[in-house]
Amino acid sequence: MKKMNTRKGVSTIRLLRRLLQEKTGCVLFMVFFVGFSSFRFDVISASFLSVVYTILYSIVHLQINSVYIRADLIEYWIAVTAWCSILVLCCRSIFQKGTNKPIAERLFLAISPASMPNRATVKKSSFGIYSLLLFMGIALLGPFIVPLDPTNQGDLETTRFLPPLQSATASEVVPRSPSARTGNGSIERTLSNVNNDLLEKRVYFTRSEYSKTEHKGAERNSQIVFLFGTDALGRDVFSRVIYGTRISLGIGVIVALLSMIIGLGVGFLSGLMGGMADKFVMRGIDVLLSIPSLVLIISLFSVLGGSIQILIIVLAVSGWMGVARLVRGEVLKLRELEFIHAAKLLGVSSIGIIRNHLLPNIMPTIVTASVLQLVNSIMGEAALSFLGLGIQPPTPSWGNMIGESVIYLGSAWWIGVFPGIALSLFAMSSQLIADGIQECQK
Amino acid sequence: MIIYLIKRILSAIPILFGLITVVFIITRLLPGDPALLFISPKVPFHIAAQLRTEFGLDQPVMVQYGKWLAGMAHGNLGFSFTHQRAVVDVIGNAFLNTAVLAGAAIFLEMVIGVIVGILAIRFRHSFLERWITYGGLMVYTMPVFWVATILLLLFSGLLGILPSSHMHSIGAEQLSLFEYSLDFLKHLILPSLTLALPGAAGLARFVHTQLAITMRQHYITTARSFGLSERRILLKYALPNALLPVITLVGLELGGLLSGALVTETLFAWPGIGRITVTAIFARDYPLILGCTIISGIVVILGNLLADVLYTTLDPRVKITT
Repeated sequence: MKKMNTRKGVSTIRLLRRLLQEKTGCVLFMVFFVGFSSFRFDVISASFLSVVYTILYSIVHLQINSVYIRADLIEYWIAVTAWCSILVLCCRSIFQKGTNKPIAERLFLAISPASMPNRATVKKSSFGIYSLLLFMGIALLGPFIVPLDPTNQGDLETTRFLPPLQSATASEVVPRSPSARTGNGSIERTLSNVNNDLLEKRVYFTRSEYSKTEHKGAERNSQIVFLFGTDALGRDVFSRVIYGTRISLGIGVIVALLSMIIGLGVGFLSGLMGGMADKFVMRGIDVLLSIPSLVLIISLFSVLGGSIQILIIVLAVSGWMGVARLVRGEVLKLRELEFIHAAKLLGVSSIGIIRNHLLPNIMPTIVTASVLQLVNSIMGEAALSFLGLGIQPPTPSWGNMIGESVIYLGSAWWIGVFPGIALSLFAMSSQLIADGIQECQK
Repeated sequence: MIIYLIKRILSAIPILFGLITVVFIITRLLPGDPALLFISPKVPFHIAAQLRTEFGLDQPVMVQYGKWLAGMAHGNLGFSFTHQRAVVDVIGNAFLNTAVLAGAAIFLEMVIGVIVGILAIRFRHSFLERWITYGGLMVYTMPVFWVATILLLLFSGLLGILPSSHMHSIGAEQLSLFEYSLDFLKHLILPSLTLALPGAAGLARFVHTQLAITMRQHYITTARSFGLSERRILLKYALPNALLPVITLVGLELGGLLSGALVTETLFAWPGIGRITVTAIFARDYPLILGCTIISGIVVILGNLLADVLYTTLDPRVKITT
């Protein structure tokens, strides 16, 4: 083992292993993000200004004006905050001493100091972690990456069903015209100007109006490349996949959090209490598990009605049983071990026992379960949207994009294939991480 | 043995009871008055009240629950609005179609999964094993509808050799029996493969790890030292031991299979329970939705029971403690 590491000379395998190390990964991330940021730097700086002026406005007036807190602006504020924090985090990790281990190894040791990662596992899981981080970065920075508004329909005659890497002139892509807004005070005026500027700049190439100046005319004739082609309504598939990532990941993360909270609570209580309560809860879980997951989700969803909030609640309510069963099993196993008895004899309170003795030992199970829960909830949402029940168009999600594409499979394969690749890549990376954590415990 | 069987069957009854209760609770969650689903808003108030008495909706919840249970015991799942028939009749026809599809899928799943798992062990430490591991992982994590999309794209779109939907071609009734069944098989391949592939990949993963553990056992080393061929060791001595848990796995996967059938049947226009559920949802036909939920639940409970019983009968080492 040691000899392999000290071998001199550069080989491809060593280079590849380097890529998985934390610092190299961070440098790559930096290069990637700075690279695409340079294309859209005007939008990033505009949103930065917008955040700064809004904060300034609320400090000066000591109140929050709801006119300036709008959904379409908040999106950009979150994105610019994420952009700055990614930059800071990457820099911190690059210049920190003694952190240059493969990222998976650090994660494994953080989850449980007793884990013994081998090299193959670390390699696999590092790939998974990086791809998951990339997905999260894309989801957070979505507004800065998309070249076009995901619901923006082009001139149908010329821009629909364009295959990947085809281009169209900007005038064929219908522009949006944000409404102008002016305020009274000087900061207020600057703020509304800044916000209008941001709203104008946010869609690549398509400025607010067809202006008469020659400068804008030249812009209208410039070419827009559709990286992943366009769909039946002339919408850019690339932008839709990225916004779909935001929707799918957002719902997935919330659902996974909710169902983990329910599952952990029920599992702990049932495992610690034991007796009749435990038996009762377990039979209840058996009952809920006996209904196939998708059937349960669909029947609950159809009965309760169809908003996104209901979708999230239904997915969470029908997803916690597996976690509860798993956690209860672990708690029952650990409860009878000597060190727990010893802690009890020493007079440690039950909360202390849970926090200091049970939780650290269950941590690998919890992390594995939550990663898989994330995948499951994304899959549940995707299946519902695929059937036309979940996220309703024109809002894009991976599931409903694939669902919409099925009719055009024979003629336009690219509409469904790209969201599908994103979906399976995400699921596979999560599975790699979960597998890695489990293998380390053996 | 018989005592164990009876005990196992008895233990399934509370779960069945719970299932029916859960579905009853879901009907209580229905927005508004269930009686209003039957009648138009134009109906005068006193007639609506009369209907409510007729359906027993003015009685206390516990009485309604008792009546619901009694109805279940008689196999009465309610009346479908859209089909204008009893729910049991509607589901009865579809159930057979789903059973054929699921049966074919389980068969394909086991065949593909076990063969791929054996191949991975036979060629272990080679590139083939690595390809099987990663390819299998990819297929295993794919959602059913994405597998279906790929298969449709390949076999129905690009190659054009398999039909993309329905159980029979148009006018298949006039064909001879042989041609008719050939036509049916052609229509069966894509949906059953769609259902089987993710499960098969999971099974292959499982068989692979199980065989890898088994091949390290002492009795395999003994067999090797006797000079038996590697193939004979693998197929005759290692495989039966590794295959036993597969039964439990397939039994547990029945729920996933039914979930997948929901999507697959809708996509391939296969007239089974899954498709009926989805059309019922779009038509807001609540009795039919709940009937399908109950039937799927019962199938899963029975499947788990069967897997348990099979496992204990097939494995002579399992000692039943009664």
